[in-house]
Order: sequence, then structure tokens, then C-alpha cells
Amino acid sequence: MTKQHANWSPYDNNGGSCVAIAGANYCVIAADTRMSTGYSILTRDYSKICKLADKAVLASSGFQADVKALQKHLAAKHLIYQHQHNKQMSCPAMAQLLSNTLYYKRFFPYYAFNVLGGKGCVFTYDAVGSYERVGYSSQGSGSTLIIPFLDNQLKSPSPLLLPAVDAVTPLSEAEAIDLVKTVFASATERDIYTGDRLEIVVLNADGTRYEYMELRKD
Amino acid sequence: MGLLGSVGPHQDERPRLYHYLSDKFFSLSLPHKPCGTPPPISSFQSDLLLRGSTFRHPNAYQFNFKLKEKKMSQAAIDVPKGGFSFDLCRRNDMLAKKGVQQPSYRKTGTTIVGLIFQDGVILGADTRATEGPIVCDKNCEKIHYMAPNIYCCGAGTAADTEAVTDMVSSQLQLHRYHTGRESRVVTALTLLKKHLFSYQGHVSAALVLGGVDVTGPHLHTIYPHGSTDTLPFATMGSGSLAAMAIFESKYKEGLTRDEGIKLVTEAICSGIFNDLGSGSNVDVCVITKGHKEYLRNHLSPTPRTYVSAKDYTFSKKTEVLLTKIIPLTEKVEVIEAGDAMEE
Amino acid sequence: MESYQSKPGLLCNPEASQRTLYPYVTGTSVVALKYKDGILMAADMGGSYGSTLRYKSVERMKPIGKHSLLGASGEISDFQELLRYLDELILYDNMWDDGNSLGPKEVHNYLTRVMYNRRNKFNPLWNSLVLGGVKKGQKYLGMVSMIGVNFEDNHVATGFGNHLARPILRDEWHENLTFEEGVKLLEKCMRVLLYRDRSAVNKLQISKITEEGVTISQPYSLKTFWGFSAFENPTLGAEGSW
Repeated sequence: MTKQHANWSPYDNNGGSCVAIAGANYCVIAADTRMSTGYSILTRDYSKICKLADKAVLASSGFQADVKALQKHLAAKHLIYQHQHNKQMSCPAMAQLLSNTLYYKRFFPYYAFNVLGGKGCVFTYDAVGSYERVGYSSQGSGSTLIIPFLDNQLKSPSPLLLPAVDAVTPLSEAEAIDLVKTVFASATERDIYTGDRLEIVVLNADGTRYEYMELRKD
Repeated sequence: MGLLGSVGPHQDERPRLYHYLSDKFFSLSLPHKPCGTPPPISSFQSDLLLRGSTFRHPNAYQFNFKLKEKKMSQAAIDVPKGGFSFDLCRRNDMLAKKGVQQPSYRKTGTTIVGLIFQDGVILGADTRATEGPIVCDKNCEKIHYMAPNIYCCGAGTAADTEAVTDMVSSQLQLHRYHTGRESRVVTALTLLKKHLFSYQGHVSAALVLGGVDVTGPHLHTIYPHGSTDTLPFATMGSGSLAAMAIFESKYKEGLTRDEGIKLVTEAICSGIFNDLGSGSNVDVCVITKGHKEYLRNHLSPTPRTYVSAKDYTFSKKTEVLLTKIIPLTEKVEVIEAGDAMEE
Repeated sequence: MESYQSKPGLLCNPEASQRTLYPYVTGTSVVALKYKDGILMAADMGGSYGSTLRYKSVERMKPIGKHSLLGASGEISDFQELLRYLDELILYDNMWDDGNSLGPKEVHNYLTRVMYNRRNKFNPLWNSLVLGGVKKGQKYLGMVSMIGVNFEDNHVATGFGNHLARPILRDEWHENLTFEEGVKLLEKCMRVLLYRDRSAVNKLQISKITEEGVTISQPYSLKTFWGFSAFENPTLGAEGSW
């Protein structure tokens, strides 16, 4: 019997892209719904976005099983938090919790690339918990195509400025949604792992709103 | 005087050197005949990978190497060898061992298909070319011309499929001049497999060859190692399984032209939608007795889904640091040669 | 992540452990789809020992509890181990005797946790699993891979089926398939797999699960066609070559 599978790997890359843009009184979090492995599509309709709290929405790409475990872990922690404090977790608190959770598995990491959006803030992560508060961000397979576009359009103030300038974008909510749709349509043109359908979550004073848009399916 | 003297002796040697190099490169870039002796296999692939870098960094080491070779070959007959050059195999092996990253080359995830219908052959291909996860050409051509009555779809390394089909196409043209007859599909098949076999799979071209000649319609697949198949319907590339699923469940013998085109289009679409390496448009080529029809972009099943009403602009402005141009001071004073010598 | 892939020896040393890092007896694809009244699932009965077709009557679809049907490809022994876990799960659930029972969604979730937990221990169950079921009028169809990747869809296929059957299913599946149409579609997929997957055999079962429960068919064969004229004398097509 040949040992044809001796190089078993506990990881897979299921692809996909995530974007989050924060404005003064809203936050747009978006991700495509394609889940793939290698050159084949597993499903065209898998949501990468998870609403953890009223004001904390997580979008993650990477290895789906790890992402799912991470989401379940955070949801459980948030439930305990609600029982203990009788309130929803704030977005910066959730951001720190996510960072700690990722770093806890430093030597067998969650292969998950996250953006966390709350009202007026976006947090962006690497797989082992390094994070930063920004005004907009993108993660996942299409992020290399999306980030330069966002940088060009949104020109975030330098985090080194003193006194500190808020990193939220000057766009209106409708403009931000239009920008998100445009970057995903463009990323789908050139990134093979991004496509099928776009799921957009909009957080604002009225609450949470879901929007969907079709993307190329090739 | 000293300055000029040191320049002088080299002057007549330089043009010769460059001339030789350009000759050598010319024969490299147009390999028209496979090498007589099989290449040292282990090092061959790395040679192909690093070929680009030899043009970018011609260094002293190469120059000396080539000069030595020149002197040796002058003793024998001075005819360019043709075929691939393996001069840099050793160097590239050495570099690879030291951990130098090899440049990547364009490998296309692809769906290509072909089938035989009642009066000929239909070939089909998608039009996506990828470099890793990025689409580098959304509308490339994968159905290559071989002869007026023969076309060939290519999957694998883009450069290999193009080079190998062009080389064989040129040989077929010469053969037609010589014989004054229409090329046969077996001729193309044999030339292709002979070439691919001699390179033991290192020329990574997976082909679907189709055409109609005096002996009727023919469809073949050719694998990178040189094995061939004769089939009523064929698929190749990363989308071959998706396309084959369509053929296996719908192909029948004696399809009409329209049914054939429809089935080929369906098979390519299956590749486009189910295989991430394939995408964009459907190219079709219908070959019948004495006639062919190349339907470029026969179908575009994947239009862009969102065009913003807003016009996104990218500012062209760059910071102007200085408008005044300061000329660099000249370091060397040039003196007319004749006058200097006399004085 | 890079380091795990580039140096497998660090994390999985085959000499020092008894883990399934390569399979012994394996089953090939399972294909399943939702239809009007429930779920239909198909799997052949081959058990491969490497490239040897060693067993020819392996049942790879089993009912789980009252509302679920499980199909498996991959290592047969791991599948049978999993069935023992599930038997216990269903038994303990039954012992509550509270009138509640685990539905397909719960069983699927249990499977995802078992598979993911085992991959975390570097001791995977070498299977791709398909779980279908109906409970309270809700149809459910999901999949779990060896490393815990899981999702739901209207049609799923494991292994080679993902390459060969799903393109057909994506083209032809629709919400209101009748039982007959569903079976026809599955047979179409199984026939393509039979032609193109070397470890597939022409002896298969189709099972259905509806509100009424599970029915697994007797093994049967598909009609095949090999009569293309180009197949009769293949060398004729390239006469003059070598």
C-alpha cells in the first residue's frame, strides 16, 4: 500500500474576500458568498458574515472550519458576557476579545482573516491576533486588489498624526455601499476565488440592514 | 593619452562579440528543430524557468563561457544547432540550490474541448488565463491555428502551448510547400507527440487537436509526455472534468452542426462556471471538409454585474518638488583623439 | 500555516503513531439532492484497497435516528467507527424519553464537531460525509469534510462527485423535482462517475428520506453505452503515426 496521503494537512483555504468601511454614523461590512477549495466551488451561497453583537459584525475568510469554530467561540463568550453584565459587548471590547482568542492559538492558529466592523470603527486582523483600528479595511483572497482602490478613494489620515485624527471615511452611507459594490465587482473580474454573490451588512442608527448583489459566477 | 590608449585595443573586438550574442539569441528564441540529443532532464526545467533572467542580466561569466564555446565550434562546422539551449542548466541548478526563487510562468487553468459531428470537427475553449489566483488575461485565445484545415486547443503553460503549436504549424506549412498537398491531421499529431515526447513532459502542453483532411475528420488529445488518444469527444485542462460530465451525458454520434456547436458551448460553459481556473467567454472553431469557421467569443455568459453610476477617478497629480533643472557637472573632459596624439 | 505544509514530518510522523494519515479501504463519491418530498442520495458499493477493487458490497448509506440519512466516502473503517458514535448518540437521546429527537440539523452539527475535533488532534476520520434528512417539513442537506469544512446546499457530492456530478446538478437541479426526476438525475450523475472515476463500480444503491422515513434500494446496475464507432478500432484514427 503506497503512502499516497502521508502529507495530510489540517488546513485548507476556502477563499473569499471581506471589506468593511466605517463612516461617522454607519459601518458597511461586506463579503462574497463563494466557498471553494482548490479549483472547485463547494457552494455558491455561504455567508462569511457573522453578527456577534448589536454593534459588532465579523466578516472572515480563510479556512471555513476554523472560521466557524472561531465564530461559535466568540458567540458563546458574548452570551456569557451578556449574562454577567446585562448588556451587549461594545465593538472595541469584541475587538480585543477576538485578538486574544486568535493569539491563544498562536502555535496552531485559526487560519482566519477577519475584519470586524462596528458603528464608526473597523478593526483588521492577521491570523494570530495582531490588530489595528482603521477607517476601512479588506481581508481575504481579493484584498490585494481591493485595498489599493480603497486607499486611492478614501485616503485615510496617517495614524501618526498629532493630535489624532479619526480614521472614519468622509463618504455618505450610500456612497460607501456603491464603493463596496464596485470593488467587489472589480475584484471578481480578476480574483478567481471571489464571486457568486455579495452580502452587505449595513450598521447605522436605525439598526442592521442586509443587502445582496449578484456577482460573476465564473 | 593614457585615457585613449586604454580604450583603443578593445574597439574592434566589441562589435564581434555583440554580433555573436545576437545570433545566438536569435537561434534561442526561434527553436525550429528539437535538439538531437535528449536534454539532461533534472536541470532542464530550471533552465526554462530562468531563461528570462539571462536576457536581463548578461554578466561576465556568461560572456566568457560563450566566447570559449565560439572558439571550440569554429574548429568544427559553424552551423547554429537549433532547438533549445541548455547552456545555463548548471548555473541555474547552482542558483536553485542556493535558494534563489525561480520566476513563475503563466500557467493557464483552462477548459478546452473538441467533438466530432456529422460533417467535421468542432473545437471549443474558454478565454481565461491565470497566474496563480489572479486572472491575467480575461479574453485570451486558446484555439491555435495549425493549418487551414487543422486547429489545436492548448492547455498548460501558455508559452509552451503557443511555441509548440507555432513550431509545428510552420513545419506543416513547409511540408505543404514541398508536397503541394493539404496537411493531414496525423502529420500534425506525429510532429507534436514527437516533440513533446523528446522533452519527457517538461514542455507542459496538453492539447486537443482537431481537423478534417482527405481521410476525414479527426480528433486527438495529446498529453504533455507525448501520449495521444483518438476520440469521438475530448476535453483537457483544469475544467476537463466539468466539461466531460456534459459530454458523457449528452454526446451522441452524428450530431448536426448546430447541435454540435450547442454541445461544445455547453461543455465550455460547464468549465467556465464550475472550474475556477476557467472563465470569461466561449471560443468555438468549426472545421468541415474544405471549410472552417472560427467563432471568436461565440458566447459571453458572464457580464460584469455592477457598473457604478458614479465615475471613479484616479487623480493623476504628483507632488512637484522642484521645477528648476540642474545639469549634472561633466566628469570627463573629452578631447579630440587626433589632436591629442599629435601634441 | 506554511510551516505545517512544508514540514509534514514535524506534525505527523507516521512511524510514531497509529493515526489515519492515509486510508486503507475507501469508498468513492456520494451524490445527494433535495427533491419535492425530501432527500435522495446515491452511492456505489465498491470498497477500494488502494487501486484494488477489494470489496463489492459495501453499504455506504445508513439511516441515523428517525429523521436523518448519512452517506460516506473515504475510509470505511472510520465510517463504521462514526456509526458507533452515532448509535450511542441516538440511544442516549432516546433514553430521555421526552418525545424529542435529534433532527438532521443537530446530527449534521454533531458530525462537524466530531470531524473538526479529530482534525485538531491530528487524528482525522478519513471521510467526506453527506447528511440528509427531513424533520417537521424542513428538508436538510449538508456536507462535512475530513478536516471539518461544512456547508448546506440543495445538492452535494463528495470526492470525484464534486468535479463530475455537481456541474450536472448545477445545470439541471430545481426545487420541484419529482421522485422519478430526482432518481433519473442521480443516475445520470452516477453513470458519468462510472465512466470517469476509476474506483467507481456498476453496483449502486439509491436511498430516499422523507417525512415517512428512510428507504434504501436494493443494489442495482446502470445501463452503459460503449458503441461509439471511434471506440471500435482506436488505432485506425491515427493511422500513419506511431
